[in-house]
Amino acid sequence: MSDFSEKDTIVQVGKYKVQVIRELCIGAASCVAFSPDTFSLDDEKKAVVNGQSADEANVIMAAQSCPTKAIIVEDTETGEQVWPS
Amino acid sequence: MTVLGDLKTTCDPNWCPGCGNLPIWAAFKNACVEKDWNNKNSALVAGIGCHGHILNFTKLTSFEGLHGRPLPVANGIKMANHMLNVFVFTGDGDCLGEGGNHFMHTARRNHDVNVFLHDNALYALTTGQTSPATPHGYKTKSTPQGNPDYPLNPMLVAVAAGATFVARAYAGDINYLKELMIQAAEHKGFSLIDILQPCTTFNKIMTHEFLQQNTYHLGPEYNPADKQAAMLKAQEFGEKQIPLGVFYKEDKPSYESQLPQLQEMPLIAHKVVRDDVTELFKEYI
Repeated sequence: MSDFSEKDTIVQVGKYKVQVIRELCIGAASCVAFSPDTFSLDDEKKAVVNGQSADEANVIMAAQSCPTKAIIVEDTETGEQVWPS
Repeated sequence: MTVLGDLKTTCDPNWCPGCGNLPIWAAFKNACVEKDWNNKNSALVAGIGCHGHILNFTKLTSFEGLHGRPLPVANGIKMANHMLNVFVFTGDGDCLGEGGNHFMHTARRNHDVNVFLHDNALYALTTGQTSPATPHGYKTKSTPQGNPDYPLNPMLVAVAAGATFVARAYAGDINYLKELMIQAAEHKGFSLIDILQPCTTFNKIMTHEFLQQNTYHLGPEYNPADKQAAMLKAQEFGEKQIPLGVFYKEDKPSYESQLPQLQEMPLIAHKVVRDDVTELFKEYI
């Protein structure tokens, strides 16, 4: 996982630990399009990861759709960073 | 009630990372959920272009037609069953280039269809050529020394042609775009939302950052019933000067509301009294 800044959110989604790097987020909202249960934009139009999401299936695609690679996904079962690979 | 899962198809989006089509898709799906747009009350039409893929990713009854021709199809659907919400997804090339004629006259006749114009200011599916919306001087594959043409202004054309709901949004503002989509659908008559969207692969100027930094929302002092104000506002486009919101709104009878054949029931509910047209043909051939 990348260095965690105060406003970054990290949430466990199924077997994945998902983090949005706030500094990189430009509010393109691609992640929200793929996985509206997991991601939303806050008042500053930055992506945040919502708690208690179960939308494991779309998380990887949501991360891959981000133009700035602001979403980090780690498989907590293997300890490997799935994206960016 | 429609839930997001109902709209999921077996295809996952193949748009580029950061593509403006993604948040447009999200806004539309959210609107479907909020207003319960489903296969019984809605139909989608798209033209050709990256925007058209939205039909593959949204599980609603859809028709993807010829390049530039979604509007005639949409008008036909609306006349056949005017109880349906008809949503048209089209691109700036599709709508203003190949389909320019249909765009102008669908607006003029005030057909009750909702046009969501995916405006990334170039032809993206064919890898970045100049479209009628490309800014003057912009270098594309088809204009490597700069675009010698000046862009067509869809807002201005729509208002001038007679459209009765003309709005503009930025693709990345999902909630605002969703609200505009709902307003457009509830408006009785031709609705246009010019959706400014980045093409992250081929348009290196109209990026998310550019659109976020140079757009603003029309305030409460703006009167969308004022057609002259709409014409002036439609011509405003520049650094920190790209207005978003409802530019023009007018209550005027839609085309379909004036057809006597549709007064009692939708056309599809009429009993077919003659399905053999052989004798009719003999009169003409």
